[in-house]
Amino acid sequence: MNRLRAGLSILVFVAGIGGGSAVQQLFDPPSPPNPYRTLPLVPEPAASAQVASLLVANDAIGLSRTLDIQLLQRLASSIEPLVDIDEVFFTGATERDGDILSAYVAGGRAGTGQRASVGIVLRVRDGKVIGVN
Amino acid sequence: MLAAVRPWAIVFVLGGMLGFVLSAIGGEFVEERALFGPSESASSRRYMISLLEHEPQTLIALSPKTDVVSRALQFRGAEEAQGTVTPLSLTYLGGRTAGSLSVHIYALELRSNDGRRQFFPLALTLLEGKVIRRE
Repeated sequence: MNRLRAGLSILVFVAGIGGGSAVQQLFDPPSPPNPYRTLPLVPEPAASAQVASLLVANDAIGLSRTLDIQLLQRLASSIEPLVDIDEVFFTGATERDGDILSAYVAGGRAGTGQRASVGIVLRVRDGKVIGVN
Repeated sequence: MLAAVRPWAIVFVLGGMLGFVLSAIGGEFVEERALFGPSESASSRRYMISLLEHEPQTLIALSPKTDVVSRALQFRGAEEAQGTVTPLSLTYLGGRTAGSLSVHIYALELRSNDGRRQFFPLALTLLEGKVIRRE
C-alpha cells in the first residue's frame, strides 16, 4: 500500500512538473520560426577584421589610414555611446551579390562610465570596407 | 473527499512550481547563453519578424514603454509601409549577451515595389527582453 502511495505521489509530482512547464510555455512562447530565406554565413573578411583589431587596439592613426572620412564618421556614430572599447567580437558574416556584411559586437565603457555593448556591421566589397552601419 | 485530494493537489502544485521554474531557467539558458555560445533570442526574432510583417502591436510590446503619440506614429508608419517592400531573406548574424543586455545582428534583403533590391544589416540592442536600440 505504501509503495503504491509513493509511486502515485511521484507520478502526480511528475505530472505537476509537466503541467508547470506547459504553463510556463504559455507565458513565454518559444521563438517563432523564421518565415524567410536565410543566407549562408561566410568567413570573416580580412578587411573588416583589420578594422576590428584597430578598434580594440585603440589605434586612431591606423583607423585614419584605413577608412576614409565618411566611413570614419559613420563608424563614430555606430560605436556611440562607447568612448573606450576594450573588446570586439566577430559574430558572423553573410554575402549577397559581392557585398559581404560582417557583424561585430563591441563592448566597453560609455562616457558615463557604465559598461555598454553596440553592434557594428562593416560592408566589404572587393576586399575593401565600403560601408559602416 | 476534499481532505483525501488535498495531499495529491499539494504534490501536483509543488511539481508544477518546479516545472515552471525549470522550464523558465532552461529556456533562458538555451536561448541566451547555451552550451554553444550566445544564440538568437526569441524576443529579437519576434521583433524582426514583426518589423518585416508590419505588426506595430508586437513591436510596441517588445519596446520600452513610450507615450501615446510615439505609439500612434508606429501604427501610422506600419500602415503606410504595408506592401511597399517584400522581404526576401532574414539572416541572423549572431550576437552577444552580457547580463541583461544583449546585442543581436541581422542581415535583411528586401525588394521594393520598383524592383530595387536592398541588402542591409540591422542591429538590435535588448535590455531585459525589450528592444532599446535599433540601428
